[in-house]
Amino acid sequence: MAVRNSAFGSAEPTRRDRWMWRAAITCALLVALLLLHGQRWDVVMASGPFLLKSLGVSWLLTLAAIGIGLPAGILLALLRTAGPPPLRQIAVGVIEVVRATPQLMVIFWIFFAVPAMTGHKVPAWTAAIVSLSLIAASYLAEVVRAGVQSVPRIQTESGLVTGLTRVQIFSSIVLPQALRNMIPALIATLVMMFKTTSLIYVVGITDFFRAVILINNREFEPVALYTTLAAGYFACCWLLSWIVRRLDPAYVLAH
Amino acid sequence: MRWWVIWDYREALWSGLQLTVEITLLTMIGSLLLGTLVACLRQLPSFFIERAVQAYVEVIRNIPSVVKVFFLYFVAGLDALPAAVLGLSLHQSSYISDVLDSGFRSIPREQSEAAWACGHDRRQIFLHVLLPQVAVITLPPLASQFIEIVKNSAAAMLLGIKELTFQTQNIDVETFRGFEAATAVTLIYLSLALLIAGTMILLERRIKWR
Amino acid sequence: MTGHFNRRTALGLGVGLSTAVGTAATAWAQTAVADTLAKVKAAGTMLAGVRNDCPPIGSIDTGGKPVGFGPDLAEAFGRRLGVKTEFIPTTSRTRIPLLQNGSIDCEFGITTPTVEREKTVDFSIPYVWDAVAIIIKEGASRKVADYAPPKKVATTQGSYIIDLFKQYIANPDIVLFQEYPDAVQALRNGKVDGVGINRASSVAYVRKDSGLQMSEDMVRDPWAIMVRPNDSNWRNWINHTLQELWKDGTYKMLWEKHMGEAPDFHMFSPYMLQPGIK
Repeated sequence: MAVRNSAFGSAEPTRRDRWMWRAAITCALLVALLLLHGQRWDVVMASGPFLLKSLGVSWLLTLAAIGIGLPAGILLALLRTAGPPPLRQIAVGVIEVVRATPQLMVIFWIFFAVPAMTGHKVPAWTAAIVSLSLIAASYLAEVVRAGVQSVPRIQTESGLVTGLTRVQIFSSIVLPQALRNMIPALIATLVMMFKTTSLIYVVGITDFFRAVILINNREFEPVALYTTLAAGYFACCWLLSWIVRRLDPAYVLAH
Repeated sequence: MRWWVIWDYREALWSGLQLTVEITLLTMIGSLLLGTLVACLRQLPSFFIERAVQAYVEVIRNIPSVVKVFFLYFVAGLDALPAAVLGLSLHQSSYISDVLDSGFRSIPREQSEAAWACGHDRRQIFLHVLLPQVAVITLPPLASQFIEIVKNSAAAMLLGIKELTFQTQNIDVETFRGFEAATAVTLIYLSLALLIAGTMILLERRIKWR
Repeated sequence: MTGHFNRRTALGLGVGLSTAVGTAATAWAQTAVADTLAKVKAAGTMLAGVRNDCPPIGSIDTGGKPVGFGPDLAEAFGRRLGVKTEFIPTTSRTRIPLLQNGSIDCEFGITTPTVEREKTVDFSIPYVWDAVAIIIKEGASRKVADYAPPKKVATTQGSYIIDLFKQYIANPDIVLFQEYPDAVQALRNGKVDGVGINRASSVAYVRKDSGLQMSEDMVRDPWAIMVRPNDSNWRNWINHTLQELWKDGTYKMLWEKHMGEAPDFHMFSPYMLQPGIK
């Protein structure tokens, strides 16, 4: 990992620095192990398969929401910036309303209100994926819009002057740079989506967060279980951001 | 739609709003202090500190704020309000330190080098050269962070604090008017967000005119 | 500023949308005359709402399957009708919306019939009579009246126990959590002085921690099976089957299996929906 130059001078890592860091990490891990040693880990292990299954549910919902939400978000962002006026207003309306509404309410509306209006029952999984994709699309639309707008307009204009079509300009010049600029915001939004899947218990699906709460209701071991919750979320969110960072072309170039 | 039901609960919603504002203000102060400290530390030329801060930010950010709040109250045994404020401050401070860090990076190095050459020490450089500029540059992203704090303050509900989201759920539970309650509360949260955004814009104009 | 304008449009849209949606939702929910019995027989499946978070009435085993008195009883009902029983997890917040939108046909949970709830759903005859008490620390006073302010009592949000407690103490200091383990943990940490809870749910906590005990009982709190309104066929069938299960001993057997003792209440005797009326 490259060490950047700070305002007070460059910080090339010395050997002493590296060893001090490794020592600190080892100490921290040992302290953590000591504190957690006396907890009832057997309770967590006994429900291991259930926890893993619900973790899989969380991942599935996140990936589905992102898989549908990212293209939908790009579409919404395009409609908002370059669409014809009626479509533009609709896109703006959808994005702002969904972002302003508490996320739990979005899920409630799609699962409870839509069947009430149309008379058709909405299956739980459909409602879950639709509502999460809607939330993802709205937040990602804003991220994409910020990324696209961060590319200087002069590039689009130069492209037009050289005779490229708008589609070529967007796909070959604007989009790659936009993607690179929005990587941090993208990571933040994807991690937020993973945490948002914890709201899905209202439609009857058990995700990782809910599973830990349920096991705690049965076994009443908050320390061990909440630690597992923290560790699980940390591992998954960190993994998610690591994956996205690997896809960043700048990162790939630097390594 | 029975909107007058919301009117019946106006006192409960008002007290919930008061608690939400209290938690938000305290968290803003706490996360700003903590985030500034961490961002300043990050400017020091030490590999160890750089790695330590990165670890801090990664760990704090990837653990949901709800879990931190749980730990502080149920495991560490703090009281409800301190646990909520500390947990939320820790959470937001990791994001704020990143925002401030990019602010620091955008200031040309020549300024601190010149100040260093003039004989100022690090503390003076931070206080008089870097932080004032960082404060102005980062006001817009800080505004969005503060709006995040308003939204995240709902985590306090899990510790029994009867803030705004709790009161909304209460209306739903007692009268089954969930839609009306959710709409009313969304409006309130939105007003808070607009208030914060407006205040930050005013602040930015004031400071820029100096 | 376009941002502000868009937010205001969003607000207006949001309010308008929610009004339209909410009106439609409430209208639909109240005018439908369902025939759930026919629907269940035709589909071959009974959708039973059960709790996942209230052992021993309803919880999950280590594999995540619903277990407890509620699921077992629901399965007995299903067998009577000759259909499969499918379990849908409910929470205090979602039990009524899930019933209204058809995700469940009946709820075997810990729902007390109240006048307010009766406006939106219908209830069977009480299927469990449980006592409400306070979990307190070992050595503390067992009288409920001693838990007036400045003592604090915790329970979960939306619980009937809040109103019950107010009948014993005029202006109680009640702390509301989202789940019972949180309330009990707060008791262990000394943040509150007692946890108002059903006796059935309290058994697990008191057994686990020798530093906790139960106070005296407050009134008995009835639970009933929730069904959709205006559905007499379904409700009657549930009432009759409940009494038949009592008569042939299935109910008592299931109760003893999960609670460890015989039930200390009586179901109304068979074919008598109310005492004294044949």
